[in-house]
Formats: sequence, structure tokens, C-alpha cells
Amino acid sequence: MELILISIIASIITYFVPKGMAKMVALLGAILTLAYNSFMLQSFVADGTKKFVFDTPWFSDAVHFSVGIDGISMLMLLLTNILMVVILLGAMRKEWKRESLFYSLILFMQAALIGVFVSNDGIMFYVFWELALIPIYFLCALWSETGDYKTTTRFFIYTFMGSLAMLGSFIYLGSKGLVDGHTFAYDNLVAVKLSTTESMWVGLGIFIAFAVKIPLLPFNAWQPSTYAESPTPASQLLSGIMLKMGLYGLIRWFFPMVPETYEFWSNLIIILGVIAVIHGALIAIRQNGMKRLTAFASLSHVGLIAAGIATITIVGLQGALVQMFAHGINVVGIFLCIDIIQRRTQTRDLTQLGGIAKQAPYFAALFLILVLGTMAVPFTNGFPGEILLLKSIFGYHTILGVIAGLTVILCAVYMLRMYQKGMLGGPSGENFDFPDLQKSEWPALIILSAMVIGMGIYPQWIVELTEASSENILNMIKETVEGVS
Amino acid sequence: MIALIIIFVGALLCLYLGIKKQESFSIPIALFTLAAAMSVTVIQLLSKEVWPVEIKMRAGGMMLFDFSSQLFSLLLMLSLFLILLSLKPVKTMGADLLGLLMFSLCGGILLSGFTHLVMMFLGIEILSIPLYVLAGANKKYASSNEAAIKYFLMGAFSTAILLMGCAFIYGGTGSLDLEGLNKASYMMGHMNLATPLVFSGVLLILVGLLFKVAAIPFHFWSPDVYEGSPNRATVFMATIVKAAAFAGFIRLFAVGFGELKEPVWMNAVIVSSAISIILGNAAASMQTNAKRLLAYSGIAQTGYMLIAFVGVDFSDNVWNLLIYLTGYISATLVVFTIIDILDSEGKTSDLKAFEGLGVNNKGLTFALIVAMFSMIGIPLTIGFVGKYAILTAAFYVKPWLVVAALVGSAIGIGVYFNFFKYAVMSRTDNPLPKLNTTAGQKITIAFCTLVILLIGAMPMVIANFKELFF
Repeated sequence: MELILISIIASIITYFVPKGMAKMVALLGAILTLAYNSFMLQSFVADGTKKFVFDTPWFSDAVHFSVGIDGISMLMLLLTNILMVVILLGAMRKEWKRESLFYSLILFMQAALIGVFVSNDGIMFYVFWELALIPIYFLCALWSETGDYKTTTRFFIYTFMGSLAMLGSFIYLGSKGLVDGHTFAYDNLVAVKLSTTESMWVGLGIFIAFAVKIPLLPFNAWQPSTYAESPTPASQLLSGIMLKMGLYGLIRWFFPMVPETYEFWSNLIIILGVIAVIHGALIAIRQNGMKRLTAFASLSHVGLIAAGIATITIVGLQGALVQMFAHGINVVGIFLCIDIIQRRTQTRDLTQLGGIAKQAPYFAALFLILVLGTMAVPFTNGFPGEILLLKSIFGYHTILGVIAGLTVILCAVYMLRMYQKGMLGGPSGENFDFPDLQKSEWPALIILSAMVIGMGIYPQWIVELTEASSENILNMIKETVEGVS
Repeated sequence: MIALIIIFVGALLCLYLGIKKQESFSIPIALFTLAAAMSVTVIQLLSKEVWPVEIKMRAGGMMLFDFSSQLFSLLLMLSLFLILLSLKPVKTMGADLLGLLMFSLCGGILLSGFTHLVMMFLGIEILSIPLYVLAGANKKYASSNEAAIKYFLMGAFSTAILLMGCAFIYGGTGSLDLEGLNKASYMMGHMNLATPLVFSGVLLILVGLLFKVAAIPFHFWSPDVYEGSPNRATVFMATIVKAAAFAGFIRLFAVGFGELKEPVWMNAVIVSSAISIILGNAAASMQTNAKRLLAYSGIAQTGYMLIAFVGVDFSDNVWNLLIYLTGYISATLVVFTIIDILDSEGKTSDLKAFEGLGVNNKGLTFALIVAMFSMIGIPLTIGFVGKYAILTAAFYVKPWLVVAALVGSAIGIGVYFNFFKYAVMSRTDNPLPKLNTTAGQKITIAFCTLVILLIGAMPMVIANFKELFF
């Protein structure tokens, strides 16, 4: 609750401070939020129940403004708030036109994201889910790199349609649930018993919303061009945090809502996920635009995470959570590096780049750490998550597991190809000049690479943080399934 | 009732000032009378008095100012107050036209409080006749004349149908007041006495009212009339006429014919609503003229409001409709005020006129964006609160109607994004300069934006009011 307040207030203040001050105020706001979050972490006991509960009627008695944080929410909050500081640090290197609006939208986005991760009420979840869309839409459209708003509008329409489907499902669940009292409370929605047909339809609605956001395969048409054309902070927000909204939704909302037909849905999601893994990777290998490449790489990674979640095992969930955190850090870092390269050379086309490593060794080293993290090399943050995910998929179906396992190889191919073409080799032009990292670029990259290594060595804390909550969710699903059969 | 009298006197005063060539006083006087009428209504509301007005004709009263009618008339008066505030000073607006607006409002108030079909008919006529004149107020423009003629012919036709319906009803039930109708329909509903006379009467009345609120398939007049009429008449039609017609509509159908078993009219309303939402939004997304766009989007919004008839509980339905209307009126007022501002800069009502609005007019653009978000139904605006209330109420009864509404909303995004496309996204070389706005226009826009955001963020505030009145 306080977190949302801090970032909203910071967002408003940022909009009104004079030019030049805006970025400092925004950064201060983000750091404050992070500090408060760590303060909350201090007193947080991960026993699977909701902490920091705040609940008050909102729309009517049926819809409350209801907030609670368990281990999974806490992890997502940490991810959001850490990345927000990093993204702001990265964005501050540039001069943006209409600066105050820009930073205020980013902070507003933070508030909405926090709301999504802590909400305890179906309608409130929907409200914040939509709210997160608005700032990102304007960020992408107003500061678009090509000046073309069509891609962004397509993105908006895709996601909005998905969300409407979800709203329909929630209202349906609500109409089957309690008539009086807090109808849309998470626990009450979960407790609703559905027939198989109903469960399929309700599931379809929620599934579309999350599948568009994640994005799973048939719904991914908005993704590459939106990533490529948005300004870097917006791409970072989209890929680093907004994707995780969909995954978080799968864990927290989707499967507990439709346990009656969970077998169908998990089959579907695993298959779609594994297809996305291979599809994304194969396309990524062929890409020359670095941002597009990252977009498809992201598609591939997220497909794996979604498949892991859909196995509905403790291993899968834990792997997914670890990997969500890791993917957020890696992808934000890689977008930041791409942005640095683009600022220096005015291009991010791999065919025109090369030889950067010689001139900028520090940058190359930090970039390499992020690349290795994405490739899931041992002792980087990608490794533990990916191993757990693959293990869970193997447990589900061996052949699918083998296919998904290809991701390790394919990922190495496209990431190393990007690194090699971009960074190694001879200089690409006559007067090629690539200064090494400047003062303003250090902090963000250092934080990110430190986290890549740190998490790779000690991923246990995420597992400990989320174990009880994940088990809760699994129990919730299993109880209903046993009750039905 | 006192409010009605005050407004009537105010309207007469305006006309008188017109004769005396003292037109500069007319707007202040009109504003003053409206303010007085509103305060009287608020006092009556707070003292929880119900005002029956007995004009004996046969049995029972003709008017009953209960809470729902008081709230509706308050909404109507407030909208007219804001419209008048946002008007440019006298030159464009003679005192006689101002008087006509006020008379029309009287009709709206009658319509919100009738208990007798004669009063309803009078209300509709008083509401419409001044508008036929207002639509043609730009005498020198062919489009304005076209709008007036079209509106008049279609309006007269629909009123005739409505009257025919009333006659059938009287023939079938032997009564014209709501109480009698309620009893008769209760009897019929429980004894399965399906009199064709009553059913056709109900359907004919339905046609007449659907025409007034501009729902598909009786919507053909609205785009042309909206486009051709002068702005002040268009905004009046889009807000007050629609709200007043809905006030009468829900009163008649929920109270009068609510007890008909498996009401025949319900299916007609549902079909009309679903078609209005989907086709209205689809047609709106293809428009290039802002006023036509708003006409079609108004048709779609009418569709949403018709969903409010489906719910089970009468007072809930009225309340949901009120909230939705408040949101719709606030958003419409914002957009029309901006169109009016552009108009006084010599721009047309083409969507292109919005090009580059965002560069130098931050406040206006913010208000426009908020209004559009409210129309789409994005959370934290009143539009979402209204849609949520209406849709959840309907879900228990007709789930597929809600699905149609959601599909329509998805189409609707494209409509309102047209405004963003020109106002915010376009990178034109010569953006609009800082536009001149009068204090009244600023107040109107600020007030409406505030309503949209405040009620959107804290719906509990007005939900508490509901407990107070119903």
C-alpha cells in the first residue's frame, strides 16, 4: 500500500518540478520505494501467508482495495523496484524531450506494476493491469524511435482485448460466487466451483489476457516491432517487468481459478511454450537488428518459463520464479548495452558493427557477463532457473523436455553470435571510435552484472522466499482437483 | 417541482430580455436560475422529501418527484449549467435560443418525474420542439437547415408512433398512469394473458423512445443532425436529451411494464443494445468528422446504457444508469467544449482540426485524454465504474449480452484513439497555437475532468450516497 503511494506521489511531484530536476526527483522516488521495500523485506517472514494486509471497500462491498504480500509478490516487488532504479539510471544518460512527463510516466508505471503484484481482489487486479498499460502506451508512442504510433496502437489493442476477456471471466466467476460481501476477493474467486465447460470458458478469457502479455506464441505479433521501435526504457519496462505480469498472473490467478480443467490448460501451455522456445530461438539466430534479436530471445526464454509454470510442480514453479527474476535482470542489461552501442555508433545493425571490445574493454567485459547470464552458464543467474525448469519439463514429458533442452544450445548460438559480430573482430569503419564507459553509464551496468554473478552463486534466497507460497498455490489447485474427481 | 417552476420562470425572463434587447443579461440570469433550481433540488433531496404533484385527471397523480427523478433532474440541470458556462458570450447566442434551451430542460424534468403517460408525452414534446428550432439556428448554412428538417420529420414521426403506442396501451389496460400499468402488467404476467394490443402498444412506445435515445435501428437521424446542428444544439442533444429520454425510458419500462412475465420488450431492448454497441463502435471508427464520430459513439454508449435495463433490481438499475450517464455526459461535455474552442478559432469540426493540439495546450489535451479513457472504460475513470456496475448487474441475467458489450468495447478503442492520433501523436510542423479559452470553458472542462477522475478513483463516495437515497 505504502509502496503504491510513494511511487504515485513521486510521479505527481516529478510532473510538476522544473525541467532538469525531474530526473533526480524520479530517481529519488524510485530509490525511496526500493528502500521501503527492503525495509519491508526485513520484517517479512516467508511462511506462505499474506503479510502487510490492507483492505477497504472500494467500488462497493463486492470490490475491495485489498492488498497483501506473500513470498511470490515480494519477489516480484523486489524485481520491479530494483529494475526501476536501474532503468532510471540508464535513462538519465539521455536528454528526453518533455522530460518531466517522461519520468512521471515511468513512475506511474511503477505504481501500477506494484498494484498488480500485490492485489488481492480480482477487479483491483484488472484495474492495475490496465493502468500499467496506459503509461507504457504513451512512453512507446510519444518517444517512439521511428515516429510511428501504429505499432504501439496495435500493441495497445492486442493487450486491451486480452484484458477485456479477463474482465469478462472475473465477472463471471464473481456472479457464480458470493452474492453478498467481498465477492471478488482472491480467496472467494478461487473457492468458486465451476463445471468443466464453464471452467474452459473462464480459463479461455484469463488465458488470452496473460498469453498476450507474456506473449505466448499465437499472440506474439505485437512484440518484436514494439520492442524494436520503443525507446530503450520502454523496451526495458516491457520485457523486464511487464512480461512478468503475465507470468505472475499464470501462477497466481490462472491456475488457481480453473483447477477443474488444469490438465488441458497445462498441456496447451507447455506445448505452446516449447514451440515458442524453438521458434523464438530460430528466428533470433537470423536477426541482425540487436533489439529484434533480444525480442525473439525473450520470446524463447519466456516460453520456457511459461511451460515450467504449467507443469504445476514445485520444481517448475521455483524454476520459473528464479528464472523470472534472472530474465528481468538480463534483458534489462542487454537492452541497456544495446542502447549504449547505438548511442555511440548510431546503429544497432550487427552487420555494421564490430571491434568494440578492443576499444572499450570494460564495457565488453560487463556486456559479456550479461550475455553469459542469458545463456545460463553456471555461476550466472540464468543457470539455476533454467536447470529447474528443464527438470520440471523432463518430468512432465521426456521428449518435450529434450526439445526444450535445445534452448541451451540455441541460446548460446544467437547470444554468442550477437556478441561476436558486435563486439569482436576488427573495427567496422575507418574512423571508428568507441569510447569506453562513461561515468554516468557505470552504476547501472555494475549493479546488473553484480546481480548476475551474485544470483548465480546464491540463488537459494529466492527459493526460500517463495517456497511456502508456491506450495500454497499447488495445494489450492490439488485440493480442488481431488474434490472434483 | 419548485425547480421546474424556477426554470420555467427563468426561461420566460430570458425571452423577455430578448425582446428588450438586453441580451447580455440573459446568460447570467439563466445561470442564476439554474443554480437556484439546483440548490432547491439538493435541499429537497437531503431532506428526503418525496413530492407528489396531484393534478387530478382521472385517478392518481400526474407527477411524482421521488429520489430517482430528483437525481435525474439534478443531473440534467447541472449539465445545462455547464453547457451554458462554456458558451461563448452573447454574439453567437441570442437570448431567445437560450430561452428555448431552458424550456427544453423543463421537458426533460417532466420526463424524469412523470407518473402518467400524458405527462410523459408532454415531456417528450416540450423536450423536442425547442430542439427542432435550435438545430436550424444557423439559418445561413444548408447543413443546419437539413439537420432541422430531418430532425423535425423523424422526430414528429416517432412521436406519432409513441402516441399510437399509448393509445394501444390504454385500449389494452384501461389505464394511463404508471400505477395502473404496473397492476395491469402484473396481472398479465401472472395469468399469462397475452393481449396483442398491449404487447404491440409496448413495442410501439419502445420504438418511439429508442428513437429519442438514438439506438440502432432507429439511429439514422443522429449523425446528420449532430453534424449539421450548431455546436450548442448538438451538445444539448448528445447530453441532456439522451439523459432525459433515458430517465423517462427506465421509469416507464421498469415501473410500468416491469412485471410483464418474460417481458417482450426486454428481448427487443437487448437486441437493440447489442447491435448498437457493436455497429455503433464499428461505424464510429470510420468517421473523419469529430461530431459524426461522437454521434456514432453516442449510439454505442446508448447501447451500454440499455444494458442497465436488464438487471434485476429496479433501484440498482436506476443508480447504474445514473452513474453511466454522469460519466458519458462529463466526457461528452469535455470533447464538445474543445470542439467549440476549436470552432471559435475558425477550425472545422473535422478530426484534422485536432492536429497538434498536444504541443501548446497541455491542459486541454490532458482533459481530452481523460475523457476518451473514460469513454473507452479504462479503470480509474468513471467510465469504468459505470461499465463495471452495468455489466455485473447484467451478468446474472444475460451473460452473452455482456460478451457482446466487451467485444464492442474492444472495437471502441479504435474510435477514441482517433483523437489521440491527431491530438497527441501527430508530428505536424505547425501545431495549434495556445488556444484562447474563456473562464467558463475552463471551469466546465476542469469540473468534468475532476468528476471523471474522482468518482473513477473513489466510487465508494457515491456508493454511500446511494445508501442514503434508495
